[in-house]
Amino acid sequence: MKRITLTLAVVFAVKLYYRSASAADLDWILRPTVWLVELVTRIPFVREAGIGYFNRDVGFAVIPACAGVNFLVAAFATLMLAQRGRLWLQLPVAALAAFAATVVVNAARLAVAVGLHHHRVSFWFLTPPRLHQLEGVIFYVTALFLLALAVQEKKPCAA
Amino acid sequence: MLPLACYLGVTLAMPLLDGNAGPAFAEHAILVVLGSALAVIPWPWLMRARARGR
Repeated sequence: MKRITLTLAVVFAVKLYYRSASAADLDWILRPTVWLVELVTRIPFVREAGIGYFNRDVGFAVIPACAGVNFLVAAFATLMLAQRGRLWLQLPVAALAAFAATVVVNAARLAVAVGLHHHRVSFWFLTPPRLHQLEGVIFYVTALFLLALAVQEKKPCAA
Repeated sequence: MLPLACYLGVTLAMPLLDGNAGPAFAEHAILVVLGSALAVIPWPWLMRARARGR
């Protein structure tokens, strides 16, 4: 019960912070993510005040909504709730692991999103913005399952 | 199902609870449910294959 309460408190606090956070406030997560996207796609992004990171040639912006904060809190909650043991030791470890996972998964998602945007991909009712969101959900849910599986792998096998 | 519960909790339940669900929430919810369903499809098969491999 203590674990669930603590996890929910952190999740609500981060969501509350995220609701009013600007691009500058979220630079701690946007900057490493964009750096990784640039590394993968070879497309440079320029930081623009009040927007986030932008590439004029492709017409793609990485704005606060793209920061992956929802995934960050979902990953943190998954890591916290999938484990047993010392709560106060697991809290910072889960937070760091969730941050690292968010940067990697979000960069992969954005790299694919840049490609979809560049080629103006759309399908049936899936307009480019809807496809962008759907792609994100598929990436995030798959990554959360992989995270939970990785945590389970650490458990000793019952003989 | 814990990862899915966490994701749906953060993306669907929390905006409803904190009153942050705007007019586009219905479309958002449909895309979240559709994307989650697509992402979950291979997992039962993968888990069965993994269990057989042990």
